[in-house]
Amino acid sequence: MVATERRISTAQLFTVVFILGMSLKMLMLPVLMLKAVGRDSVLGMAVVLGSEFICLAAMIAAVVLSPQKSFTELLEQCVGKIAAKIVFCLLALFFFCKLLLLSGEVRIFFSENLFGESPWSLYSLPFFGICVVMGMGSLRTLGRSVQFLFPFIVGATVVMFALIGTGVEFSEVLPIGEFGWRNVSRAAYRHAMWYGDHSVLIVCLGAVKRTKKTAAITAVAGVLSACVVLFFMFGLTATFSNVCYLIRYGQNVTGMSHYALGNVMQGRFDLMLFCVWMFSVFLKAGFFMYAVVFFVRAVVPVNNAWPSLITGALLYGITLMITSATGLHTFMIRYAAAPALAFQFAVPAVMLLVALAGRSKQKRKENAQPHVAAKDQSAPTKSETQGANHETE
Amino acid sequence: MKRAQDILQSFEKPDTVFRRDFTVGKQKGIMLFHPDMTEAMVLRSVLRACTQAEKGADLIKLLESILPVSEAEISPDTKAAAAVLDGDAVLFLDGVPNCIVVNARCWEKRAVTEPPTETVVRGPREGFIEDFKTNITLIEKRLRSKNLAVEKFKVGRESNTAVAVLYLGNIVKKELVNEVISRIKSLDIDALSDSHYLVPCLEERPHSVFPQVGTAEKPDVVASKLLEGRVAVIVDGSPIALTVPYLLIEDFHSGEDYYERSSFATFLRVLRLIALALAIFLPGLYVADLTYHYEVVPLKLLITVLNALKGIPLPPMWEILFILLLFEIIREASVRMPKSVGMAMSIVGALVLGDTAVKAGIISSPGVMIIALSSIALYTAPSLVGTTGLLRMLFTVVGGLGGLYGLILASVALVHYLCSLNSLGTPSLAPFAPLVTSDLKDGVVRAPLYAMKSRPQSIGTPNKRRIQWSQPNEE
Repeated sequence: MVATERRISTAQLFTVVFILGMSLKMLMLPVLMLKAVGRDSVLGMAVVLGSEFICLAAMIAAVVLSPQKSFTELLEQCVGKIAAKIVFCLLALFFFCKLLLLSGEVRIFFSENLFGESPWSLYSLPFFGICVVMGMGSLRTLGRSVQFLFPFIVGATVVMFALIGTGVEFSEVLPIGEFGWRNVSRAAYRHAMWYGDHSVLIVCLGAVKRTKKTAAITAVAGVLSACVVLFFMFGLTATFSNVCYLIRYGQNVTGMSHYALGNVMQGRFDLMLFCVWMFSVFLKAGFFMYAVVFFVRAVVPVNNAWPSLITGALLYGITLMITSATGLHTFMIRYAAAPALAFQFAVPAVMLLVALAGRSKQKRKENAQPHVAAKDQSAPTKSETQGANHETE
Repeated sequence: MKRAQDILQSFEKPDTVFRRDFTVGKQKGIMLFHPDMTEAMVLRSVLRACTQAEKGADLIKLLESILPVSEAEISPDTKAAAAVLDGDAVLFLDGVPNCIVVNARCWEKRAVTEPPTETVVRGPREGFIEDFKTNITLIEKRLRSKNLAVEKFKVGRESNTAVAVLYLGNIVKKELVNEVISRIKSLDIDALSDSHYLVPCLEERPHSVFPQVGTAEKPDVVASKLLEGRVAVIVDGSPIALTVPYLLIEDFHSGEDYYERSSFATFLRVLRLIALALAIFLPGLYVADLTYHYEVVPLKLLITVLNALKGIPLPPMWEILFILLLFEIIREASVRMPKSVGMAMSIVGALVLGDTAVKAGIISSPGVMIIALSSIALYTAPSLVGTTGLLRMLFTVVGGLGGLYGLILASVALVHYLCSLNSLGTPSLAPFAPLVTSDLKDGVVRAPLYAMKSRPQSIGTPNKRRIQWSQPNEE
């Protein structure tokens, strides 16, 4: 029966990678980049996406090569329990910051026509509530949710891009390279917190039902999501070039399509499409919450409910303290760029190293006890069971 | 004969059960039976045969060559009382251990008719009735297979209701059968009035608003579900069979889909899905757009709607909730009220009340139209009406309080919840989440029958092959 399989399938991993790759980068980031380096933001985005793909490749390799054990188990084996717990704490903090940033992005997106009159402190409650529920759930449920909503997200994206494609003069992207590479790199660095979302795949280590095509399929998802982001960036840059007042409106593609359509006679169909696309953002928030809970549980072995509830309460507490809609942006740009950049590269590297170490250790063990290995070949090993069941429903 | 007397005395009122004394040769015998539940002709012929039998006839001889009945068995005395309550006649012979249980059951039952909730234009019209034996026979008639297993047992301390678990032994997953039987047997209840009493036992989340057990009122539907590797449960006195595992997509399927052209069946399924989406989301979307997102509505339509809303005292959310409440009251009343006044009351409810309320300026005509459309759409999936009705209310409130933001959040929460839902180990959202590509042929799309070569993999049947059809080569 399908349900007895506690791991996520390769098809689900494909959808997860696709959604992780695009959602946060299509909210406020393009506008912020546009504001910083104008037309050259396309270059900045391309460079970042390139580096992200390298990180993703490392993570895919880790997923494919890992001995079906979770990251927490593998790291504890490699560096010992205490050092591992420190790493888990840092990772929980990193994903917590990501979730906080995402909540800020959602706030800005809806601030124009919804939260203008009502306080975000009130509207954030259901958002955090759903995050808490997702954090309490299992990776399998999250994987299924992404898989179910994937066609709607893709459909909305395609129609949205069709609107952009027909209404935007792409030659407006040129001339490019006016700001120079130095400025472009600086802008990319300052917005490092917006990148590296694939790092949340760390919770999938040992929890993916692998096939021969897992690596290829996941890489394709990464490339596709990068293409979507880049196309979007092209569209936005071509439409607004150096005009950066869009930051005031919050939403970007909606504003762009709005202008591209020219009038409101047809209604803001694009807003509806963008709302369907927003599913990906909320699912991503669920993944971040799951990651936070996952690592908190690795430090303090309790059930899913408490870490999830406490994280939700903390998020809400911080939200109450941030009064300005763009306050989080300022904080992340000023103080979180360097750590975010470090995490962006460190997470895949550690993940790969740990997976390789675990793999070699398992091979050594198998070589040392060939008869035992042969005997146990038919039944799942203890490590496999643990790896597959590190989530509970 | 003391043992027969003991059985009689075990009843609260011993005269509930009748006793007839007879002799086989010179050997004394007693027949016990329930007069309201037995066929007099059978009893008479049994008594006549017994009295005409020669001296020395034992139970086996009586059973094999003397009693003129097709259904009789030797049974221990301990089961005699239950047999009498089932409408059987029980025969005791003096000095002979055990008794003979003769099927003499007879009670009123209605004719096999088309069930009101599963009507079809094309296809079989037989429906289950309240009679246990008839219902099982209707399925057995369709699946004349040696592999069809019918496991019968009793549930209910006071009702002793017969329950049958049906499955095809060569198709079903054995763990599933064992799970179903053990769950039903673990139920300790005083009486089982209907098959729905068993639903919570078979569900993993009994408090959920979403069903996790399928229901069917037609034998052809149950037979086809058994052929897919599911297990059916039939309860005496209930015209509704339960089937497990249950997938949510089943609500969008109709038995008729398989008797139509595949293209038309697919179109109908898509239509049902769209209708259900409209039923759930349309009121919420209307409220959200008119409260927060005017720009979403095309300008001309917006002007028309705003003109219609002029003078309406209630904000959109309260107005829609008010109309929904009106609709639910009218619906509930029309189900309960006598048929003779039903038509008149429907006219009063729908036309007079609705029309007058609009003219009086209490509710707007777009609001009435939205709820009317949504309510009609609700009935495209009749088994989900309760669930979708609740969801519609919820989404209306969410749309009114949180606009599109609220609707998206609620949708994500709904999908996440549904993805965590299982029906006896099978994901409720299969074959979409998790994706089971081979099952997509009978998901939203209904592929031609020859293309559905395998049984649904979501259910996990070990016997995968369903159709092997090699078309003759064209020359």
